[in-house]
Amino acid sequence: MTNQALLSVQNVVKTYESSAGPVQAVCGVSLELQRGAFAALVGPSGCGKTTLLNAIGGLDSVTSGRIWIDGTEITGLSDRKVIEFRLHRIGFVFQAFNLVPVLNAWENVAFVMELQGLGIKARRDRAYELLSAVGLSGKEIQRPAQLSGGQQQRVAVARALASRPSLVLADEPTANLDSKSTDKLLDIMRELNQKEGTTFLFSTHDPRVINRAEVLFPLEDGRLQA
Amino acid sequence: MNRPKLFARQSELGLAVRLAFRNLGRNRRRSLITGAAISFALFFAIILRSLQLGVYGHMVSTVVGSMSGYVQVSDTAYWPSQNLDYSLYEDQQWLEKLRQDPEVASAYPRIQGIGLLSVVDRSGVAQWIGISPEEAQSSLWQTRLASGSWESGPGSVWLGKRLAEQLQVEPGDSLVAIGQGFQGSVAGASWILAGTLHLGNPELEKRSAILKLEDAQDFSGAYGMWSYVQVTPQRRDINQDPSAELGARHPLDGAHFLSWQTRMPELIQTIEADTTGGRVILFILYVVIGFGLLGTMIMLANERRREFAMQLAMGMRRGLLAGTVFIEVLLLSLAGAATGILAGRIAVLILERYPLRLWGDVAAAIEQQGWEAILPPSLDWSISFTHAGIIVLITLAAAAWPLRTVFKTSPVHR
Repeated sequence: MTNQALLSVQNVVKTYESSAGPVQAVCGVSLELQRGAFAALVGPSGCGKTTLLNAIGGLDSVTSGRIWIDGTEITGLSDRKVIEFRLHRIGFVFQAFNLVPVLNAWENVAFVMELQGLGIKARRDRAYELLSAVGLSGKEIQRPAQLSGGQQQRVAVARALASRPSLVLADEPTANLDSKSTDKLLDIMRELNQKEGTTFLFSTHDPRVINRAEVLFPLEDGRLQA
Repeated sequence: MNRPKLFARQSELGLAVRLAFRNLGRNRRRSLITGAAISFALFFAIILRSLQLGVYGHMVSTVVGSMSGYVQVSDTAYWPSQNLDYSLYEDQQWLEKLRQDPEVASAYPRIQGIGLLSVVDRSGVAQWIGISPEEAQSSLWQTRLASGSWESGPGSVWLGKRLAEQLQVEPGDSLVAIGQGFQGSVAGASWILAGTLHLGNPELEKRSAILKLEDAQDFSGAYGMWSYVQVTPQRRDINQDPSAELGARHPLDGAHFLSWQTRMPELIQTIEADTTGGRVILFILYVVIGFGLLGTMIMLANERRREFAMQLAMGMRRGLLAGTVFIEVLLLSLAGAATGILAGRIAVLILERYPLRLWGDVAAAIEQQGWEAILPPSLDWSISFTHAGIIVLITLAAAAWPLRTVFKTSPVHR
């Protein structure tokens, strides 16, 4: 792991058991990602992008290999410690917007901060600031069902950044968006990446995302291509 | 070992309660149906159990409380023959001490026997009971007067309403009474009917003749004697028997304290048999409702699996997520229980004011057993709270399914 690397993945293997026998979804992947990067794991469906992203985020265990984020080896942490680590250091944006349906926009953004124990004023100020940054001023008290798909995804981005994480992992964030919403979302994420210095790692096969990424990690059949 | 608390911070509890409360409103129809199922089960259980316990209370208070007494102090040889010859000598000092016991609501001496009453060519067998002036003044007897008056001179008798009808007598009419007196003497007297009594028990109304204690002693020749002292304790729960305690505190030579449970085992057996039947019905009700609630909880868990995964991915601890689900189910069950208690209580109060009255063969069969064919409910709050507790526990047990789902769900999005 180099001094500047925020993320270091070393020889990670992930094997699933299926009825047809073991399936190796990620085969010995190693990569490093620098702090402040705007990067993407790219490749066709089924190449292992999401599996690798889930492993990096500590959502799924690895069969072998090691992953460091910001100097912490997350592959060695207990389930409880991983949850705590995710809460403070990693933000997620999922393909489906995955907001809490019973919370309004600002409460969704503040959700992670509330889990962290921040006071209501700090939460509200940060949530309103982020919603403004993603172009949703005036929509703060609307519930997810009252927002469009693109707006929901922007709330999800704001939520991912709310706790000022070191790394934001975005799994196919534009898959359910039209091109106009995709461009706007990517503009916002890029701006936040530059303004807040947050590192972004996408998993995608969307050319619009690929074109905007600074660093690409092409995957094929679970292997990183040169 | 440093174990995480369910709610590590106050803000987490606030979040859990807010999420739980709002989740109740996300699928209003399901929440309403689930709450209604809990309410209905509780409502039905309260009505059923209140009627059952109310009927037992009615049986005991009419058959036991008003006539033979919850506790009887009698000569050790008096039961089971109830022979006048085994009477007690009056002991006013002992009686006063007994009455001053804080556990004793009332204590009245009585003397009683069997006699034949006749009017012209009509006659009937009666159990004559001599009651003290204090007892005659008690509200119990005052409210039982169907006709006539308690204000009357010596030689007066008050008959059960049905006995008076059988003999075709009205207040002011004379009756002749004969029977066995004390120690083999022949008892005989002429009485004036002072009133008729509604005793709440058809069998008692057919055979009861109430006299003043002195008239009864005079009639039987048992001067200065009591057959027994009828004691009404403060606590009259069916399951309580204070006779041993009272007997220990107020011993009387040659006498013992007998509870109604000891004197009337057949009544206890009837109650126990009926209670078992009621419990079986309630058990079936709870099983049916329990499976219904489990079905709802399985649906809830399956619907939220993806949301659980997302919340776990965000960094929400499983314990906190489980706590949120638990609070949601608890709120739902408490809301259902509260409405069930309210509805049940209103229904019980209505039934108390307008008790169900049985009719036809069922009524006749019940009257033959000695009690009035009505179904008065019990107003005991513990029935509502006990069954509310049971139904809340069943709901929380059904919540084990979504809680299990929380602990089994992987944060991986698939």
